Amino acid sequence: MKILVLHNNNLPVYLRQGAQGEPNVIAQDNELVHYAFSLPQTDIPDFDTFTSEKLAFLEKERYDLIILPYNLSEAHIEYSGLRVAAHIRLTPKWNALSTPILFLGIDKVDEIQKLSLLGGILFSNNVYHSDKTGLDELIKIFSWINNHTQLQDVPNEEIMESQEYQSLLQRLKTMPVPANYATHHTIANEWAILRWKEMINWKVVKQEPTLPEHSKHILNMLYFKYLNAKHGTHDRFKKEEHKKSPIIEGLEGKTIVYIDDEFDKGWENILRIIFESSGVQFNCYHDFDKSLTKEQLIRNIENYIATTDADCYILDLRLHEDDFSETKDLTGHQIAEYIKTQNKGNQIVVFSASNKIWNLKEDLFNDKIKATGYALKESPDQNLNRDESKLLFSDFINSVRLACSQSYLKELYNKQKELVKINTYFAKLDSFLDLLSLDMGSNNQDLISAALLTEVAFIEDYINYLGYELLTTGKRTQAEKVTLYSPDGKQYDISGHMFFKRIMVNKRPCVTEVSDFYEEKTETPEEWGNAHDSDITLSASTLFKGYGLTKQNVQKYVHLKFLRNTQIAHYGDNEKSKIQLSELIDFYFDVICKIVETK
Amino acid sequence: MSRVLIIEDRPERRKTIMRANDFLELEKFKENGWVTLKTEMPISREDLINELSQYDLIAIHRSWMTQTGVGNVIEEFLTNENKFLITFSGGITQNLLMNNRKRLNINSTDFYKHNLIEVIERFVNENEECSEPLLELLYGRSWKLPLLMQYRNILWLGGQAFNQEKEFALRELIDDNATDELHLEFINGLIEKELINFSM
Repeated sequence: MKILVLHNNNLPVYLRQGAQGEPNVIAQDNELVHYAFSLPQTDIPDFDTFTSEKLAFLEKERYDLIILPYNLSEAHIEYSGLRVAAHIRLTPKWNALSTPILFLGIDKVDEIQKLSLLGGILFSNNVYHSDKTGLDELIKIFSWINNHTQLQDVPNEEIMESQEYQSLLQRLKTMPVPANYATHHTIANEWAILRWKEMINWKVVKQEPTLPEHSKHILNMLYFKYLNAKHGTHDRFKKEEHKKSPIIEGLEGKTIVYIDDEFDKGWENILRIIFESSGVQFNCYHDFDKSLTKEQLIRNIENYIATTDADCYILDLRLHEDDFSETKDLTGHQIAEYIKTQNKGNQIVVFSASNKIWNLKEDLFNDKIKATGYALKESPDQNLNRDESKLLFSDFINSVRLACSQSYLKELYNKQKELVKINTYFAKLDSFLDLLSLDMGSNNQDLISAALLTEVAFIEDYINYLGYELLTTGKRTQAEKVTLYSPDGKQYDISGHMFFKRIMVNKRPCVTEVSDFYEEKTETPEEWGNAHDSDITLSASTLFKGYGLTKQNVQKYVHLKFLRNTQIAHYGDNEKSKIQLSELIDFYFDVICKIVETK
Repeated sequence: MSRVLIIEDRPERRKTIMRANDFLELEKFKENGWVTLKTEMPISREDLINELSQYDLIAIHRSWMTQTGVGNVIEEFLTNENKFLITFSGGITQNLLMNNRKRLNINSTDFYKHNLIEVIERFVNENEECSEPLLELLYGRSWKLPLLMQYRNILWLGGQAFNQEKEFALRELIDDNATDELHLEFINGLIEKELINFSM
């Protein structure tokens, strides 16, 4: 048998004779190779990293048996030997997933069970323990193990899917979760990063994100190895067909700002490639100096935001150490509130590492913050399969895409601010913007209809408010005189020559089109009506004559009025088409803003 | 009186992790002069050593040591002076005792949450005997258990593993009246008693 002995000078002497790493033949052709697993007396980065580096030689060597003591470090009840054995079982590349392991020591199994959360490994397949110290006794044990272990040359995937291996994972489920996992979500972050790195087809953009050094640290972490093994091999993203493209359609020309204290875990590199490949200007906030108080950090981020103009802010909520003991008023909440204070139309997508933060979701969608979307960074405890991981990625992408498509609101709110500064009367239009904000890209016809009514009512009320009036004299004939009086005393003759094309909807004539004004025609063409025939005359003629709007812009009013009179007020006909949001936005800028600014 | 120094570059972390009572207690210790809480230290060798030499047990957050690059100076000085050194960090996944129980790597949460207050209280109090503060920090009142098990391991190996000097020292820690080698049955009895009260 080829036997590996790991020790810290705490196994019988004959098991550790000869030069370290060199084969030493003992009785009955048992070839022993021993390695002293002595820890340095000064700082080591981490025991898991130390173990992973120390045993890297297992990638190349294969043994029939591995012997080790229960403990390899100084405090006996650290039971670091069990931890090393767990590493051996959970590191597929070492090719020792089912190699027999023999623990030697005087400790009793029930003691170990009480003192170590990894004690379950003693009861797993191909793991043995003995308190014998005599060479002859041990050689008998080696021989017994050799005769009772069927070492099959099977691929790791097959071993990991076996019942025995699954049972081992069950026994290791009591493994201690690293303490900072519960609070800082570090593992969740690094897990999600590695998952994204694997899930995305970087070949498409001929660029692969580089991950920082500490990502290697997590790969060495026993708990991480356990989670990796637990998820098995079925849900990886090995084949290209399973991967997602990093290029996101519909974001070209947009600007995205990313605020996350975990940016340097690799998120910045990953997101930068994704967004820049999609034509986005991507900016990341970096100054998360750990010595800053929460208030200082908030102030610094606010100062940064004040200098930005983004279509979408991607924001984590827990940005400061203090946030890990809070459930309300996290730094991210306050930053989100500030972003909205800057401009109600700013779009926020919350990107968080823990589903525990789900409890805080209601705060994200309240009146102060109104996040456009919430996307979760996958965490290992969710145990997601490939499709579920892809779904989370899609959630993120869809949220960002929606936010970017809603960023027009930012411009609207800016404009609205200017209008209200000119005259507080225009604050009446705030509700129009709020209705559009509520829509969140759903194209909800009820909301859009309400927004349309607000615009039409506003323009008509405003014209009345200003004091424009129509005066009709004479009989209702083509020769009657219709005059528009403006508040500054000007008069515009619009009699008879102003034609409206009309169609019958629900037995009512509805204006669909406005002809050129002042057409020198003596007779009204078929299907057309005269100035006195419609209630839109005052508004249309005021827009055209009083404000000098183009016929095309006046048509915009006529069209909205038509929709108001048909589809909204009277539920329209059976073939009604959807009201387009873009029409309402165009009307706001091309008609409402124009008349305000003309004044 | 022994003195304790804790260097934590982000003191708010301490407040986050510690139980409220323990946090207040630590503040009291600070006022009493039992413990000094700092966020940084001079990094020139001479000033650093001058400062460190005033303390007997020093706990340092690893990120401060890494950022300042003074780890080697601290390690060397404290090892030579036989002082206790603890490095703590959220990134430490397995608590490890080293250098003949004078050196401990411990996770931040375990450091602040375990038995810190009790250990400081005992360590600085001249009337208390606290020769193994790092073991006490890790295992509280069960601090002798790992020593007992280590000693039992020596008996199991029939003296093959450790030198005599170490064995004597260990024996003395387990039972200061012991003059001869302790017997396996006796050790097993002690282990059994310790295990009854042990909780993780």
